[in-house]
Amino acid sequence: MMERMLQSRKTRKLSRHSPVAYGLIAPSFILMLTFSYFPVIVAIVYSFTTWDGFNPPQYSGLTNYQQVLSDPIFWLSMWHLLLWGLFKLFVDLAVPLVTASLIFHLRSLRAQYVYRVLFVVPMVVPGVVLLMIWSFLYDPNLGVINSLIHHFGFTSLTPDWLGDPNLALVALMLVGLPFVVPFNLLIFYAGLQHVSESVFEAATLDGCSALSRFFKIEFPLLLGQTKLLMILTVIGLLQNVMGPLVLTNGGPGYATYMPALMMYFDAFQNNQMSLGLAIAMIIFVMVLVLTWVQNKFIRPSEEFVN
Amino acid sequence: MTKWRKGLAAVASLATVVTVLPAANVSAASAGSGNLTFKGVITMDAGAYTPSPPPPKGQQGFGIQYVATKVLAKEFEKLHPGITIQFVTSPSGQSITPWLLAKADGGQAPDITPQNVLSLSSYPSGIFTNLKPYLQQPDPYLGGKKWSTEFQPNITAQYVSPDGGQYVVNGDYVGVAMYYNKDVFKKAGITATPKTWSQMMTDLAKIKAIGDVPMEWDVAGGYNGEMRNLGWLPRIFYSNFFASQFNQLRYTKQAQISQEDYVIAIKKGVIGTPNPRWKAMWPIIQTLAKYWQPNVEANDNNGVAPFQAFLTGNVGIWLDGSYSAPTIIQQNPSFQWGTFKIPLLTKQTSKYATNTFYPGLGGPFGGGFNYSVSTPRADSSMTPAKMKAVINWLQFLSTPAHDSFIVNESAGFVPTVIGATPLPDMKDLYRQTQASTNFIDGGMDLTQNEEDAIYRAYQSWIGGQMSLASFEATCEQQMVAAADQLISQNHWNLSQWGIR
Amino acid sequence: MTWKIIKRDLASHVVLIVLVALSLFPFYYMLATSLKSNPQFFSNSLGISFPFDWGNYAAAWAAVEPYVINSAVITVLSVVIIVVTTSVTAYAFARLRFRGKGFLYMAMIALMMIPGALTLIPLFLEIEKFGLLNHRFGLVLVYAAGGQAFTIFVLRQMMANLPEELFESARMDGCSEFKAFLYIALPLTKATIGTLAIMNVMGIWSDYILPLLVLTSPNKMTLTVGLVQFQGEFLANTSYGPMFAGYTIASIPILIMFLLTMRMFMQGITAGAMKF
Repeated sequence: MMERMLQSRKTRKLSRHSPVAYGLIAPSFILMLTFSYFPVIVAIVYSFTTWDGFNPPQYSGLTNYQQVLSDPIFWLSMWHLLLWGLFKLFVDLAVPLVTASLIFHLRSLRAQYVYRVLFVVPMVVPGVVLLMIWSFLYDPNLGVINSLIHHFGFTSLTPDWLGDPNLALVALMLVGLPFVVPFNLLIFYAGLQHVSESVFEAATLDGCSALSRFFKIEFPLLLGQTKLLMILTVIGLLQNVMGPLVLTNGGPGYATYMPALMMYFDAFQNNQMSLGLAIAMIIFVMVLVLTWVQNKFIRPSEEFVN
Repeated sequence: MTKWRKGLAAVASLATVVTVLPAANVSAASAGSGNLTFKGVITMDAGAYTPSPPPPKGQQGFGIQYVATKVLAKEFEKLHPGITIQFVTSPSGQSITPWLLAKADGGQAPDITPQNVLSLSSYPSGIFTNLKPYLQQPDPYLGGKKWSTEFQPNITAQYVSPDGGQYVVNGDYVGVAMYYNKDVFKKAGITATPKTWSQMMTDLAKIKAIGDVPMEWDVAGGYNGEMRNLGWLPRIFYSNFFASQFNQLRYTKQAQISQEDYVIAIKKGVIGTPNPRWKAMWPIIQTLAKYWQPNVEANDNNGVAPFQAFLTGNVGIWLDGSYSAPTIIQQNPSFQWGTFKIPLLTKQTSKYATNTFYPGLGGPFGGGFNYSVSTPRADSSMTPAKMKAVINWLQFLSTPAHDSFIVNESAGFVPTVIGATPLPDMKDLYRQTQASTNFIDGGMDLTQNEEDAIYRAYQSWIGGQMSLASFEATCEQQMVAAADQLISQNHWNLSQWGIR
Repeated sequence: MTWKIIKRDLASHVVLIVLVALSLFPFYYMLATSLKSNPQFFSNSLGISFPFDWGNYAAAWAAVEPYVINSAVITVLSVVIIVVTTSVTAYAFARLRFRGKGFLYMAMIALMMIPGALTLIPLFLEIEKFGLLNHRFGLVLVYAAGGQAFTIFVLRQMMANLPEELFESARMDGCSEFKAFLYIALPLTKATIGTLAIMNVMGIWSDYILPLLVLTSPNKMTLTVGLVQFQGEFLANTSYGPMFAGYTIASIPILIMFLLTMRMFMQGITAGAMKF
């Protein structure tokens, strides 16, 4: 019964070519062309020059790209990005997904409402404040984390989380614990709402346990959302300059150096705007390729095939 | 110990008094004010001295209330009808550079912005006006004497950029002090504050023995890690170790050792790893580091952690700028505290020590009165007539009376303009600004790239991730690269020193 | 909600309560700190300190009050433009077929991957060329453009997930594309649109770089600019209380929006249960 349900959702066709679509997308694209694409194209052009951000640029071909790609620190920061990315992709998707499922299956609708509100409230804490709070939490002497460790008797185990080169990256990754990312939670929740009641009914009739319901129905049906959030998570991480900048400044040494941070330093601290732009372009191409690969290999049952 | 540091406590309480007294007679000195044809608005980001918004009705303000620049603006507007001074806000912290750069690209930069001479190199050239020609012109508020005569030569000498220009005018000075916890000292059986480096090491060992943290200090410095206090260390050591070679190091014969001199010294191997005198400071630091809290000194935590640690009462000594004194007082810690001078390096510590005390650790760079004027290219409103008016306004701000009025509000800085009067308790620090103090840096902050790389290597070395030898090798490599970069950028011909 | 109902979901409740408590910690911390004087903060940074220092709020309110209307107008206008334009675009991408669709869609996704800091200079030069400097509406247009890619991307996905049968039967009933959009696609993605609107409100409401770049007259500035000025005073002497009070005040309108949007999810449930 379940299989049939899933199958019927898979077979869908597009309607015919509709010229009206151009009219519908026009306002969006006019806005984007003017205020988004134009600056981006300028940035791309400048990445092939030597430019300090103020004085006239000079064409320099691929020099910036060569310089970035041959810099071992760039590859070190890519390695950090990969580690952080894998971790983040897992926790930022898995935790909200499970949480959304737990909330969705609560029997009381009022409780569902209350939890949703409570989980989105943390969003109002501005990013800067959040980072400040985490730097207080990590404080080696007054921080809550070390106080707790101390409290449980591990007095010799009170490290400086952000100052210890072996811990700093991990400490950065843990910012945001317990990772119930509000936006992801809401997207998964909305996705669950769209899974037809009858699918769940069928599952109950088939005697599915909550666990197998989650893995056999919910997760596959939410692959579309998962894919979407994967892309957004990667983009978010790639552009995360503030976290490492405020908490560790990329240090100690280069222990928490990230590509976005390197880009920021080149553009706004070292007078090498064009080098920063080249880093941005390299990252951009990488993500685009990743997105393409992801589109090719993860095909959710729910996805509308073009 | 020194009066000014003991006096810091009194100073901070004075701050509240100062704010209550509006500028009564501050412009008595301004007999003439020059003729200005410009009419319109001058925009100024006054940085640390931005006037505080008035506190809400029935409320007291928080911290220090700054009114001086606003009061002076009103007076200036009266002297020059038709000109308005508008104080503008810029984003704080990490966003300031992208913001100012975009503004400048669009010709929209504020007329006056606060700039740190040491981090000027993080901006492209051409945004700030070279003020040197204007400093050579008569200043109406000085009765027609040159504007430059107002500034202390030893400070002006530190404000010369590698290209020979001067882009910032300075009006205040920061001191650096060893703050100490008197209770911890008592508990550790230390009866007097240390006078020499080796005495300090003995005291640190005593503090460690009673289980407290002997020493904390914030290497990262500025809020965005831009202004590294790492530079303080070489200054303490090299001003002492190289004292007798000071004149020799002034290759280009300027009042202080210029960037160009450092480049020559680096290329000649006088500064850098080839010279054992240069290398001698690092093992001493390594010994000192045993008394720091592990890793804290490698941490870029917005500079708050060491301060908070000191406030816990378990830290013996905390090295920081004089600007922190008002803040400690405000926190009203539960322990007794005081300050002492940076101890003298003697032969007991290193055979290169020269018994020369460099009193002026700290300096004008970290202060708030460091103002730059935007170029017409960065600020399209900057007509020649406006430039004249902007310079006139800065001249007005930097008269001795006005400089004192502005800077004394802060309680953590002293005014530096010749003839300015510091708060009574800051007199000793003021004397330091006037002394012809010869300081010697390690050549480690020639460019942002170099400073950043050395700073990171330092973190790795202190954190135990890198050997002393590779730290030194990194320094040498970065310093030579920075020297080469400056040579080619400024088209220096150093062949007379055998450098090509 | 009776005890019996709770008991049936007890395990879920336990897990959720733990997660809620941890998630809310930063919010709690912001609130608690906003009511502390400096000595209170340094002696007890974690707990709640008495007496509450309401002066922090008075000062913060005085600093942001003149700008509240500006911020509200700019944010509401921008988000309305975003919601209207993106929902039709997302619909076109999700449910219609047209030439160049794949390319346009990829081009739009690509836009999200360029960090904003690096396009700030060309963007500013453009705003200047268009004569939009010191115009609040110029800011609205820039925000409206900035919110497009992300919102379309998410919304398209949600609209694509809707069962095609709904649209087919509508078309068979002689429904126009526009009506199908208005009566089927919109109601069924209402909750997501609400969420996306919030995300955009958050971004625009808390941005201070663009207002500081584009606006020059003090009377046109936004709330965050007031906060930045205010914050500048306190970072210098590490007083967090007033600063956090400012942030708390700024978050109140958003909290109210949350309460409203979450209600939309409630209605979404009945809509989601629609038969097909």
